[in-house]
Amino acid sequence: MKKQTVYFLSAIIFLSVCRGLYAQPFSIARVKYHGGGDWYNDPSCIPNLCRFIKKNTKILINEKEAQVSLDQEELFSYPVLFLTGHGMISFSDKEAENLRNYLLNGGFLYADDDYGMDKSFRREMKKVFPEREFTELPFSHGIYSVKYKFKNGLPKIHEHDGKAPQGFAIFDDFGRIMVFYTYETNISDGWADPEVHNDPPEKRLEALKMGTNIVVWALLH
Amino acid sequence: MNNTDLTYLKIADRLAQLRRKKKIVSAYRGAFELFVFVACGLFFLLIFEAALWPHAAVRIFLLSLYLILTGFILFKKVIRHIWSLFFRKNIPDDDTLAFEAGYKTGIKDRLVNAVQIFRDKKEQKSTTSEEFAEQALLSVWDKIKSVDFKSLEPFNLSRTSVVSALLPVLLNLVLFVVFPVQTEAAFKRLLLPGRNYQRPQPFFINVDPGNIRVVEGDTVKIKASPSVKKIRTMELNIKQVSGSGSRVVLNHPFEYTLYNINSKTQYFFRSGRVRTPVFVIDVQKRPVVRSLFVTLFSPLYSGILPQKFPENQGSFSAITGSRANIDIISSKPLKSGKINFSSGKKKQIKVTGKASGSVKFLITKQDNYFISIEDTSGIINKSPIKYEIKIIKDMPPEVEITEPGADTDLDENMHLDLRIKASDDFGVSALLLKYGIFSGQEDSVEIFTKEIPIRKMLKEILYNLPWDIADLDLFPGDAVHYWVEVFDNDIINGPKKSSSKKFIARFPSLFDLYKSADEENIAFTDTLETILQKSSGISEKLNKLSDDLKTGKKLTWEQEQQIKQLAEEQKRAIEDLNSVEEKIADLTKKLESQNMLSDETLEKYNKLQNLMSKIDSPELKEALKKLAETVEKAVDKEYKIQDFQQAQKQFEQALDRTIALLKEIQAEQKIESLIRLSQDLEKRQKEINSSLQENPDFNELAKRENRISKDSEKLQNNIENAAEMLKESHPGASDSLNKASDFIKQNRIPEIQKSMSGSLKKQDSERSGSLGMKSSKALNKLSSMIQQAKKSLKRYKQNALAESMMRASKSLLMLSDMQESLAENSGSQSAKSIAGSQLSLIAGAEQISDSLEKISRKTFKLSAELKKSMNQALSQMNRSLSFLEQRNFGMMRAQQKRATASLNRAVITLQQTLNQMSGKQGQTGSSLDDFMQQLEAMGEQQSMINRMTSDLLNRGRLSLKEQAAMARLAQKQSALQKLAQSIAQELDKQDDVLGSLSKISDDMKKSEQDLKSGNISRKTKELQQRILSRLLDAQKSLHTRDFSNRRTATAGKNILRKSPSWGVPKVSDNKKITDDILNSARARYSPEYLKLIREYFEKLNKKGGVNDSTGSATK
Repeated sequence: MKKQTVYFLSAIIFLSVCRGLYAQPFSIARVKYHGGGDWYNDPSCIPNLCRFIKKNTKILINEKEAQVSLDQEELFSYPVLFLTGHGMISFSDKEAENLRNYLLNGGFLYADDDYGMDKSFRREMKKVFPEREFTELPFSHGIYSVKYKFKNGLPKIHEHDGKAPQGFAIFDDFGRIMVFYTYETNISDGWADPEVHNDPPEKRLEALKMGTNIVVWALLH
Repeated sequence: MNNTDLTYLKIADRLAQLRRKKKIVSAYRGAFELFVFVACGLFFLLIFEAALWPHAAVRIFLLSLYLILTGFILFKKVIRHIWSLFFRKNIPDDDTLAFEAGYKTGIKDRLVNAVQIFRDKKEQKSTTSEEFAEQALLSVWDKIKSVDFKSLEPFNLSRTSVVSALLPVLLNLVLFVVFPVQTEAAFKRLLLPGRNYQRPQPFFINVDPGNIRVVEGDTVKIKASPSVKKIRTMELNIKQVSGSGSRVVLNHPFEYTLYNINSKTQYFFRSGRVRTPVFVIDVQKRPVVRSLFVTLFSPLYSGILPQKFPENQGSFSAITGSRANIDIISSKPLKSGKINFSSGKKKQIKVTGKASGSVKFLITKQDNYFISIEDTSGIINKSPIKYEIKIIKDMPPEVEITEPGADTDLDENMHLDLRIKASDDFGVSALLLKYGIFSGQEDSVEIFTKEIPIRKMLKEILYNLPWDIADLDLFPGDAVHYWVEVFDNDIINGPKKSSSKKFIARFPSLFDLYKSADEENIAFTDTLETILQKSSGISEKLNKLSDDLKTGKKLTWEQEQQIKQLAEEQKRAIEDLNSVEEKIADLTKKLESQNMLSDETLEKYNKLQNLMSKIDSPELKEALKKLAETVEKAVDKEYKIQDFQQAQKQFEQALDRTIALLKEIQAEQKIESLIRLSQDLEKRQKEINSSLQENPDFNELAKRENRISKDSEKLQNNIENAAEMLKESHPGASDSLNKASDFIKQNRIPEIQKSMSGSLKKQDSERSGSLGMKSSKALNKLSSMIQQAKKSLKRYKQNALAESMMRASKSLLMLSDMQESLAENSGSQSAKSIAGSQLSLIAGAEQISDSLEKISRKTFKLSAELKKSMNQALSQMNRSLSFLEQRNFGMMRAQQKRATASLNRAVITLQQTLNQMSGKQGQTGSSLDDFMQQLEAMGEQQSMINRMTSDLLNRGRLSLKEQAAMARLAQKQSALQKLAQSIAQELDKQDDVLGSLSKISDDMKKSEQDLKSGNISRKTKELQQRILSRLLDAQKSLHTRDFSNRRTATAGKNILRKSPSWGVPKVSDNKKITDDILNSARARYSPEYLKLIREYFEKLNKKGGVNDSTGSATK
């Protein structure tokens, strides 16, 4: 009887600890990269997205963004990384290796082309995954419907070159998306404060919803 | 009583009888005399009266005299006798009578004596006896007893008496008989002596009008008509009461007119002794308006208070609709009055008092008036004063649009700030903005009105109206014609309207914008060429002056003035240049704001402005200043002119280069504009095509398609014009453009678009869609073809440049060889020969330097390093000559070798430039894009260097081959370093880029040294990493600039498309295992080895994969 009580109490304590651990809100980390690109672009976008996620889901998330370099150990503390800019991305070998390890070990990187990033991002990602290619996701992929429905794929938030928005992914061996890269849409600009880009409210809402989808997908898979 | 007494008594009685008789006779005689007197008197009086018509006074006098005399005579001659006869009984002794009786009886004086004696006795005065007395008495009695004493005094009239009595009677009778009328009249007049009798005239004068009453100012005509015709002249006497008299002699018909009689006048006529009575012309005064008071009440809207004019000011100015009150005071009591207008209108004056009146009337137009009054006598005033009523025109209002005040082109904000100025003399009641949208396709245009809220009744209004034209949904090419209408507050005649000048706010189409830019550019070129021409003229004149000075001639005063004038002309040329520079800057800004410039062209414009700002160099300014002073100061004229000539030459060169660059920009911009226009058409076509999918407004789309069709035709024209323009200078580009133009014609693009417009009007979606796709594809192809022209342009330029640079490079190489051989062989040659050869080499180097200078005008590619090398070479060549002169052959050779090295460096730099140009297509090396591409290329090369260095570092001890590879890396690093340096020099104002590049250059130098010396370490690796980061930073700086121009954070429109197919790769387990193995091995093996392992496994995967359970490779 005594033992059972001890086991019972231990289980409860253990679960509580686990619950406590898991009850801690997580942060989305913005990647600080070298190369001269504006990694720090639109500082209001992550906090706004986090607020939206907090309000519309049960996910415990910190509204304040974290910032992390790819060569830091803390990289592994963040389940979701966010990368954006207008280009000039450069990963050192160490950074490439670190990022590769992070992603292969369950990490998730969401990269959003803020116009002009495409070339350098693809080049640097080739360093990280020389053997893997970006694959465009079909509209039927779950990332477009996990929380909010996007029947026609990514919403087009900003005009850029007037092309259709595309969502690319690098998968791991088990079919898990490690890197989700959005091109010709600029989802993250839609998360920024309204007065920054003067986007119509419906566009911002679309962007926040898609952002929620990405984070939810990242956490669930 | 005794006898004597009785006798005495008897005698006395007898005497008394005699006396009585005598008295009677005297009375009779007196009466007779009286009668005669009266008759004579009467006669004379009658004569006198009839003849002379005396005055009444005279008559009275004469008559009085006559009567007095008559009375006297009557009394004396008659009445006295009668009196004494009847009333004087006791007559005193009258001795005379006794005497007289005595004589008449014959007794003479006895009687008297007797009587006397008796009387004396009786009175006892005498002493005589009584008897004597008695006796005397008795004796006398006896003698006279029988005598009738009565008979002693007979009443005998003598003949003379009778005649004298009868004569006057007779005369009177004659008078009465012969002149009965006159005598009778005279007699009657004598009977009434007190009257004045008019002597009857020989004729009478009839006077017309006689006495008359006239009104003051009247004219009276007087006429005299004599009763006899023989009268020739007549005298008119006139006298006015207020003035003096006058006499006028009139001839027949004896008329006289008196004009403007103002006072009482008397007049009479006279002809001889005939005179008319005095007639009177009585003058009655006319009534006069003595005082007049006008009060004016202006209409309310005018805001003018009632005005009272001064007394007797009847003329005034008033606004139409004003009411006037006129009060008058007359000089005489008024019966009635009227105000009479020259327009014919009349109005009764109301009599308000004895001599006052009032009238009110409305003023509707300009007029004159006078006041006529009638006094109680019925007399009206004459010649009343005419007063004038002037109309103050209520002028129409005025309005003008002061800003923008000219036709404008709308920018993307589609906002127009209007500044409106309106004014009116009495107040503004409304302000309206009127506008219509003209797109050039309509027959008529609806005019819209927008009321501008203003405070009414203000006389002056200044209104700022921000007008958001975006609401009007304009299309490019549309124009808004607008103007302002203002209304005043004239409620009498209705508000008057005025309109401002019409302005146009154009929403310029791309065609308009480019056309405008083209025109400005052409104007700039023309102006600059004119400035260059003028400058050349100045140079020529200066050269001549300079030549004169060099020959020792002194400058004349005229020449000195000419120098001054030339300096002034140059100043003006510089001012014109500055003006063009400003205009170019404005145009650049405008084009940049409208996104009409590519970064490349923008960069060229900036470079152009930079060039132009340097043309007006401080040296030129200084030279100009000094030149102007040459006139004042006598010294150094020649040098100052030379200084100026030098500065002038530089000015012309720089200007020439600027013109060349501007022309280049124009050509490029022309093609760019065509590309933009074609892309714009394509975009618009796509929009229409996509609009067809979702509830299209066919009419709207048809209009838009029609515009596209018209714009396509315009584009075709522009392409043809551009092809023509570039035919000679850039034949390749011209050909491409011609092909593009042919393409439009062959594919009938405008016609397709027009057909589509027709289909849209018919709401035929299917046909419209098909035509739209066709048009879209054609436009896309067209755009590509025009882009081809751009590439041809660049290639042509590049090729031409490359050719020139090749030639220069070859020449430099030859020169370098010749310099080297001279240095080596100078020992075996004479000094003269060496000098000659060296001089030729110097000339050759200068020539090559000039040609490089010309090349530099066409591109920014040539670095400062090249110029520096050339200058060094020339300097060293010249120094070698100096040392030759000093016979210092050693130094001479050293300089020659250095010159060779400098020439070699120049060759290398030129070659590198050429390599870069040929290595990268589309690089002109002069634009932002080119710098970006260069930096990117440098980044890639540096990345390669970094990788290879890293590889070598990991090898440990290097083989010879590896050492050689390291040396080559060093060279590459060196070349990169030089390139970084040259870019830094070009981007002299790009501090952020420059900063990065400067540091890059320094780091590259260090890296090069490490590689050269073979001392590569981790530090070298870090250094190279840093270089790469900085290169990327530099790119970022340029890209940010590029980014800021290009990026438009406009909200995107959702694009419908088909979903990509499901191509998510299935990564095999083999891969996973490969990676796991690699991961586990990672810590243990070197990167190189790890790489080999990876490759091995990848190959394995390709062939058959790895056995899942054992991990061994399968076949």
